[in-house]
Amino acid sequence: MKTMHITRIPVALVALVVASLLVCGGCNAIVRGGPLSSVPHDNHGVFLTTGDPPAKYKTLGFVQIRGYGVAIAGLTEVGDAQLNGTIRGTLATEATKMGGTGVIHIEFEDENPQNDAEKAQDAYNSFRRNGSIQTKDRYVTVTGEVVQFTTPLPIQQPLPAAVPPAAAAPPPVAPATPGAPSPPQGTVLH
Amino acid sequence: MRPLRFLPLLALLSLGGCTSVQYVEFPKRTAPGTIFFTAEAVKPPYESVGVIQLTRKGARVFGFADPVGTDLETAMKELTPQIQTSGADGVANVRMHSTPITLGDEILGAIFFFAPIGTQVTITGELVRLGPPRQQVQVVPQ
Repeated sequence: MKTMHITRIPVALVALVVASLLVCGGCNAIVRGGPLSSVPHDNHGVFLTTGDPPAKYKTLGFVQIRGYGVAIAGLTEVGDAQLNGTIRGTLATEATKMGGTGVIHIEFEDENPQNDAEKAQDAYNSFRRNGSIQTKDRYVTVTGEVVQFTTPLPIQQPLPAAVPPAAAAPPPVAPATPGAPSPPQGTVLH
Repeated sequence: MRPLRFLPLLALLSLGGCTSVQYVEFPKRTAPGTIFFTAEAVKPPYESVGVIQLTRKGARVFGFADPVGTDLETAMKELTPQIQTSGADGVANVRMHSTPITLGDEILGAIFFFAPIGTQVTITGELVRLGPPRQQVQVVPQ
């Protein structure tokens, strides 16, 4: 009888774990960062891509950046553990310092992102009675190959500047004088 | 005689091997509007929409049950709505990593069923929209 009593506890525990996992809708942690460089390039700043560059290049070196930050109470983050700031900010700055005009083959990893369930748990533990503010160290690692392009990148052709609607309106047509030739349709009067 | 008691378990674990294999098929772009995944770069012209990472955490219960779904295929399915809402056509330069579970781990997990094995899957990549990048029209002030 005693043995049955002991085995009942782990089974209940496992059932609880399984149930909590099944109802855990927020098991995904999705981290987004801003856009890198498109091809053709808009010719602004360092060319950043996770793949191959569209021009010939020489490699200057490799760079690895590890951004550190702290998640506070599952609600906010301070520090540099964001993909956006690490890739488009620090990585681009370091590449420029090395004399590079681009960073290619960028690889990134948010090492310990918090999913919604973990954030909720941290918030609960922080604000419950006798609770303490929960903090969690956050790390983002980014690596890339710093290059200098030896041939020009394909550049995006700028669109012709649009004219405001007021300026685009046709000028008032003067009343036609008898005998004067009327301009052909479709021409612009200056 | 006592060590021999564990002999069947050792034999079972050795039969299990040490290799873990996961297979997932990347969806290809068959028609406009379908999402694609590729581990390579895409041919220009393309527009970068952003970078994305999905991390899915769970546990193996009883050694074989994966109630949350921390395999590559589930993670890819979970990522698809995010790609659609971002306006991208697919993900380029995809990198994947998941916790390898060997048959030996499953056997041990079944024996020590009260201790689930923590698992995790991570997918990273660059969201891209095929075609020339969209430009913002600059309005010249009068």
